[in-house]
Amino acid sequence: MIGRLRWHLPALAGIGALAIVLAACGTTTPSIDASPVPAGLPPAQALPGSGGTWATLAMGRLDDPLDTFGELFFRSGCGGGSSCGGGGHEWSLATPPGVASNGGIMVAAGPDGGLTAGFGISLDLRFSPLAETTDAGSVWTGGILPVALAAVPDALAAARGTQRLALEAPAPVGNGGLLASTNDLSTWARLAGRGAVTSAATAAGCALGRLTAVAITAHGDDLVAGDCAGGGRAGIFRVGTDGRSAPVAALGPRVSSAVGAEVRVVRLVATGGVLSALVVKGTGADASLELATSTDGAATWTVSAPFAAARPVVSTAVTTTGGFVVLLGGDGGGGGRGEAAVVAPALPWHVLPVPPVGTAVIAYGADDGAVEALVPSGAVLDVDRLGPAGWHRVQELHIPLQFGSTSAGGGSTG
Amino acid sequence: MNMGHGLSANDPTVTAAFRTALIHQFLLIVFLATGLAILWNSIRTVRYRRAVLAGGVEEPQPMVREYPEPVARRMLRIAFGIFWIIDGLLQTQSSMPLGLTSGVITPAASSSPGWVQHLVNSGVTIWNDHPVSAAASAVWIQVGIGLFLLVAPRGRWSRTAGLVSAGWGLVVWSFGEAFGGLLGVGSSWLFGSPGAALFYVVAGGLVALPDREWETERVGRAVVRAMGVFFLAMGVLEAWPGRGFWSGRPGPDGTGATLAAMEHQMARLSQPSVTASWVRAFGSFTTAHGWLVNFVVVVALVGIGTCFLSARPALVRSGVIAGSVLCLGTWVLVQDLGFLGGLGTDPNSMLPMLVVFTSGYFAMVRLPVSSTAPVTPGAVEPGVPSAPVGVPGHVAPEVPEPVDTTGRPPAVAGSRILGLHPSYLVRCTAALGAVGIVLVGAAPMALASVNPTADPIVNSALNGTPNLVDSPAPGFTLTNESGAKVSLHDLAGRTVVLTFLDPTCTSDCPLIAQELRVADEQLGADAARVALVSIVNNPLYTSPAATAAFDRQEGMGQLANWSFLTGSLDQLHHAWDAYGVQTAVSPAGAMVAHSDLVFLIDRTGRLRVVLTSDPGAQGDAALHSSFSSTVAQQVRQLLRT
Repeated sequence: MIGRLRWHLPALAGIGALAIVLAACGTTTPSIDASPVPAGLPPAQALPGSGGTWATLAMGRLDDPLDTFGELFFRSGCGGGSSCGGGGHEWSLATPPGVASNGGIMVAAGPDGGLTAGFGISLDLRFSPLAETTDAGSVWTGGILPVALAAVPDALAAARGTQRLALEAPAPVGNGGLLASTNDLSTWARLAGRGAVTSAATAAGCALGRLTAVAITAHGDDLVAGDCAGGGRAGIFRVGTDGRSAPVAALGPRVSSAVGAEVRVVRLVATGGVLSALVVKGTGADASLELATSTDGAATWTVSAPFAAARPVVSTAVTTTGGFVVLLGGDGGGGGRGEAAVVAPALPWHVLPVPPVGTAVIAYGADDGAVEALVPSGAVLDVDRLGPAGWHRVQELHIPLQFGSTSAGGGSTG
Repeated sequence: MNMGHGLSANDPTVTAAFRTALIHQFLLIVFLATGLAILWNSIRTVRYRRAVLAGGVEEPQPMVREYPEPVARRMLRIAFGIFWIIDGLLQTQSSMPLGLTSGVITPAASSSPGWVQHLVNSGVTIWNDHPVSAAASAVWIQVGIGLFLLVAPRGRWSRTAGLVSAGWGLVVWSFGEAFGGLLGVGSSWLFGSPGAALFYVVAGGLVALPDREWETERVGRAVVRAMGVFFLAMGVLEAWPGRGFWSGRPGPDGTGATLAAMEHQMARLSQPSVTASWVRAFGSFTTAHGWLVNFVVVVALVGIGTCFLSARPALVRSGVIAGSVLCLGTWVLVQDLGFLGGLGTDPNSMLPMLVVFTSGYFAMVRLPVSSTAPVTPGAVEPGVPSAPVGVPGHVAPEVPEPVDTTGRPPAVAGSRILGLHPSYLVRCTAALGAVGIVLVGAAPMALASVNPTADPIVNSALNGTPNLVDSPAPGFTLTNESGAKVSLHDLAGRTVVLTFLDPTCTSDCPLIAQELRVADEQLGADAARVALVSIVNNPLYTSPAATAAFDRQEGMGQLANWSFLTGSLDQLHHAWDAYGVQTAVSPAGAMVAHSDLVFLIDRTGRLRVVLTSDPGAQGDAALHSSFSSTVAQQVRQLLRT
């Protein structure tokens, strides 16, 4: 009996060990190779151009990256303040043709009326085709950025003439540097690497996070912005081109009294002679938005009062005076029934009525000051205008989205 | 516009090729069998003539083994021989070449740890690259192993059959069953864990044991106790909290109800309505009484395991009976008889498991084997030792003359075969035939496993066979990435692989470029006599900057024989029209739609082959590799002409 028991004890121990091992194995979360970092779509945005207002946003089946399309819309102005009739002040599709826009579209309006658009990378495309128009999207001229454009609203900046600036996507897709073009849209030179910006930031007491925007001032200075922790300053830097000492210099305004607070630059835009930076300071429930503006090329700044922004910024629109219309998320996600507010230089924050459910961006009319919510749903874009009685529907666009066109084999007619 | 592609598991091209491969290999086997029959008859003839010369022909006496095969071993050998043959026949299903990996193997490994998936993927890659030869190989390997087990009852031949069976079972268990899902989330004894093939391995191993191991009840006890440990472990696993087996309905967070969910999933597989209704009904019962079902299963597993672990004949007998009932019930109500649901490849785990523990019981109690006929001199099979005197169950042979128990050949080497007993000679010949069948399957499988070049059949299934033409190739003069002019005339003397790609395309064009790159690698030294040329197929992005960016992205600039040509819109339109390439600019953020075609132009400037180059699904590596093989194969043919 004892012998039998001796035999059984190791057997029972073995059973227990085996069961535990099997149970442990069976509850292990499978380790599957991570796919390449998907190119995140840039947030929706709207901005004024010389002939009207531009807006970019995502449409289609937003839960399927291959059936999500970045679309560019244009709202023509009527010119001279005359009344619009016969279809004026209406939005129309203006997406540049020839490239799959599944990676979203980044745009920059130039001071001479042109618009430069860049395609975010998607699927196997690892560089960003560009397109430029000077006639409100009737004719586009193609260009090539040899690297991947960062998926942020201000990844491109355009100045008068042919001066262009581009922000490269961060690692692992790209190197997160700045590229400049002074010739045509296909000839680019690396202006500064991320390392140079990081050094300048460190010298200014800022632990640099991701780079978020580029801009070209009215004086022609190339600027780059990024998230900054410590120092309480907005991370805005001028990138010199002389190639000698201190080519990158910190110019950002102080926006927080708390040393160590995080300051994120959401937008950096040069509108006319005004350089505007929309910044978020703090995190979570303590976060607030501030508008910093400069009219002397970032030498001196005026900072607005803070606006509590516990909800994340969903999208932004630039006004003609260098202010912003900001859409904050509803319940933490994007596109819900959120909160909207508008701010302009030297003016306080003004809260707008709660925008329609599903609003992607609230655009500010370039010539008539109309505030319109763009609400995409599948292949339909609804436009709701803000009037004295609140939001009311003014337009419905049906977009000929080509579902399935991006999947492998989808581009084939053969 | 074609919208995405995926090959159906029943693709007619691949199905036809599979059928043809099976027929060819069957004819080879018939040829082999004929040869063996002739050999066997020749030996008989020689023996007969020798006997005549020696003075007379004696009727051969019936052969009696000195030590008959134990019932348990015979049960294992015959049952698993039949299982292998059934498995082999199930492998002849027409959807097996394209359906096995996506329908059986990959799902089986989906919840397993990364290293298991990595291992399984290595096998999947081989199968997907060579679906026809792999599927046909599996048929003959399994049929051959089955026959091998059946025709070789004793001796070295039989033990070799056991080893082969165990070896192939191990391959199937690891690569085909992802270790029976044992390491996967939610694995359950009811649904086949730890995998049917593991029991094939065990059975093969037992058959391969030296004969002396079967002389005592030691083997039986070991098998029964091992099964006891196994059943207890499965019981503990089934009872383990947090694995979702105790509830028939999902919890508020959607988890739990693992058994019911699996049963409903099984019921949804394509199968006869009768089995589907059984499984569905039991699934509904489990949904309603999940706790009760799992309780019964856990108690049964633990009870059976305890009986087996005791190794007492009476308890083990009870365990065998209860285990048989539980296994058969599970086989019918949960596993839909194993092979009737979906793409069945075997009768699942219950029957093999039942055979293993039953044979273990028989080996333990050593039921007597009846054998009455006398033994014939020289009739003992090689490797069969004499049974020790006094071993229960041993039937003492009548030995008229000394017996060569070593199996060593007679003094005259040539006469060894001639001296074998006729019935043993038949079995030797049959065993040789079975080995031949295994080799007919194993040889292509071995070649496939070391051949990284995919079979062109996959590409043919999607894009059709290459279109052979013979006409002057339309000329063009365009600009390469460096700004230099390149014309078709400049390429005379080289075979030109010409395609049309969109440099800003996000899906097809990068894949096609990579396929051409692989084809170039496959051509080896011949690539020096080949020019890979693409012409821009996007009217909006035509600059050399665009082609250079594409080259950088795809690494095409590293190929000495690659050129991506562009030109003015007029020049490009001329080239597109001349080659019948369609280009359409679509609105709203869709990429340019264009023809996916590859043209092969011989060194005299004549257009010889047109290939459709639709790369199919994005992740279909086998399809892409297959297209590369097709291009390389066609280019080689042109280089030879």
